[in-house]
Amino acid sequence: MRRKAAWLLATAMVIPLAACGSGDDGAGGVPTVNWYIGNESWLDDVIAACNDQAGGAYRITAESLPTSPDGQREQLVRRLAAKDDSIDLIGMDVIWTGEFAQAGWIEPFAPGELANVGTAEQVLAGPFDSAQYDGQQFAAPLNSNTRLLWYRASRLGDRPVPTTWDELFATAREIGSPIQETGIRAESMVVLFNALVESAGTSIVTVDEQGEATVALEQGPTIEALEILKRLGQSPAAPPGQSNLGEDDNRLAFQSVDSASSLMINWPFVYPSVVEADPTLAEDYRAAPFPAVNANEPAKAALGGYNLGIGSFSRDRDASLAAINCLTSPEQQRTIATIGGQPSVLRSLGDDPAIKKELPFLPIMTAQLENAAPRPVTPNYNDVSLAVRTVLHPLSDITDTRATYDELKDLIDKSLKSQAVL
Amino acid sequence: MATVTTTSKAGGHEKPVKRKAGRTDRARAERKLGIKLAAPAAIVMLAVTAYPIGYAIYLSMFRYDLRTPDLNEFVFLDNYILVLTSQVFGQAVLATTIITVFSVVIELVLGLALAIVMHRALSLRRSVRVAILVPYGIITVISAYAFAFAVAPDTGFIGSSDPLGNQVGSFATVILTEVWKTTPFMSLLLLAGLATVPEDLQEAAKVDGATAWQRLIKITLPNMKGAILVALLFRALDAFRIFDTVYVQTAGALGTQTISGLGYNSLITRVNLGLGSAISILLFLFIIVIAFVFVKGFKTNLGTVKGAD
Repeated sequence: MRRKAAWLLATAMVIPLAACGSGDDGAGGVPTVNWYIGNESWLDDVIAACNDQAGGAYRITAESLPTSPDGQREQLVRRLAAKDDSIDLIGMDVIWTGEFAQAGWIEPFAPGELANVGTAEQVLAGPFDSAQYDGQQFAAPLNSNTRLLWYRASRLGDRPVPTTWDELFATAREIGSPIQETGIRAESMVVLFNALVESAGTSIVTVDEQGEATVALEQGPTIEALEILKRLGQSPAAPPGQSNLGEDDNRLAFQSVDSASSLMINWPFVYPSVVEADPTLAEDYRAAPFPAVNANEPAKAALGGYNLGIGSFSRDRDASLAAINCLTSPEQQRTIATIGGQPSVLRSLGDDPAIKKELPFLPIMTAQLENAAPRPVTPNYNDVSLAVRTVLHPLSDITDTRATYDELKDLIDKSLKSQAVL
Repeated sequence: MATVTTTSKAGGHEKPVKRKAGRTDRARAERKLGIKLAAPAAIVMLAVTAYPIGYAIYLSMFRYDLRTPDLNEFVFLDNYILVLTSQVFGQAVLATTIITVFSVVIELVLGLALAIVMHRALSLRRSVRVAILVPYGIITVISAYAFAFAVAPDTGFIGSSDPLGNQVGSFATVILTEVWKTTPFMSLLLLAGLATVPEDLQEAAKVDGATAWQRLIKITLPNMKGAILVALLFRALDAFRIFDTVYVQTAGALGTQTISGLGYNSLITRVNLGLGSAISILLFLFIIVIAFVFVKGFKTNLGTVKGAD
């Protein structure tokens, strides 16, 4: 009797183990594609559509990652470093591509494997470049994103829309509005700094022909960028509590009817949000291109979004590849753009009427994405990012931009050599 | 000490004296048995503590970054030199020290006061004790969030200022959270010490006309020196390893990054195991130094908690 019970118990414990042990059974022999990605509003729709289309060739299941990008990366890095073979598809923030590729955690795609996003003709320049590392394409761009200048039309009146940072500071003073820009010690600080540095005419990092990354940061343009950060931190343009402001805090401050905030730099998610919360207020929202540093050079704005990679330890690369080709198809791209408010990476959808209906600012974004400022593609990106945050936070403490420049350059140099304590 | 006592009890009624030579067969056999009985526990302890520590020391002498596996190599003490010469590490040691010193000192004073309240409470003794101990039962991350929300300009009720937006305010918030959360632990340890202070000494002092303050300074505190040492030592070691409160409230911004926070960044976020291990080993050394200073400084034998040794 007792022995029988033990057997039952043992079998009961072994069966589920066996079930998750092999990736190929799922529902009656259909290979499962585990997709590790943060939670997104469009996720269920595109997965359902692709599973339908696959007709039993594969079945995508989403494995939810934490909400914050830092948390997502941390969990992925831990699993990949331990060679987790349950990871088939990886939803990567564009900035992780270089790091994951160098570490051998994602496999490059052979030419022709990616039906929709494999060539520079198909994909907008910014997202396409973010998927390349060491001369090979390691990721499939899934969606894109860029930050715009948002303003309240009624508060600006008949003043011209600012096109440079100088004009932006002047306008802010005239209408008595802070500039809602993030100041928290997080990735958003690197997003801003990188866009300013690139707009001023230099880069944080250069990669030579051997693939060796070194700190670039030409002195003149970098100091120009730092001067703008200094003004952001010290002028009356600094919003209250700046050192703790993230993207969503800015969205809320800008969206509250009685606040003086009439100028904001932010991602386009602020628009669907206000349409839902207060459609009348939404009519007062306008978007303009990210401000330039110099009047005669167009700005290079931040580039965000997801890249898709296939985990090196995945047990079914073919099924994962088929899933990628479905997820990047124009049909699913349109779903992602209309539900999530994030523009597609496909050139063919740059002026798509269905997307434009939901995102009136699509043409500005498409233009920015062709001339975007990708953050450095280097295995040590995360160290570089922490170095930038460490030196620049809080913005209000930047006084001597020359000293900040030296400190920054030194710490980024160490970061690229895996030698920085951060 | 413990083994000697056990042997003497088991071995009949001999006094617990040291007998290196002339041990009886029976005592020897018992000794063997004792080692055998204790061995499994010792082996497990070695496996779960000594091995990881040894491995961390080994890793700390390599450039060992999981993101650039091809470049890993033996670098001997280079990681330690990098850490010790970096400005960021210096700042972290300073921040950790500030948080430790302020929170432990405030906790000692408050904890002693609360211990006396618990000790002397005439009515509702149990309710008083429970009320004092409640904060200690709350998970650190939750209390950290609670205080962060309490001081935030939008959700908070502590004025309209923004303490987490400046350095002094950030430190004050972290220390306040620590004090609120761990004072009960301190007072619990001190209460145990208070209970050991002989009541007749107090009575005698009272008869001699000593004031309450004099009795506290001259009778109570010297008699619970051991308990104070244990409480301070436990809390100082704990406070020096502070991680979660800072992680939640400031994420290391405004100069509040602690040594544990740096270790976490290196090991978990950056998977730079070499550099991260070096930071962890340095933290371990700091802890050993603190423990050593406390034990030597108080000139008290930790084995006798009573203090009157």
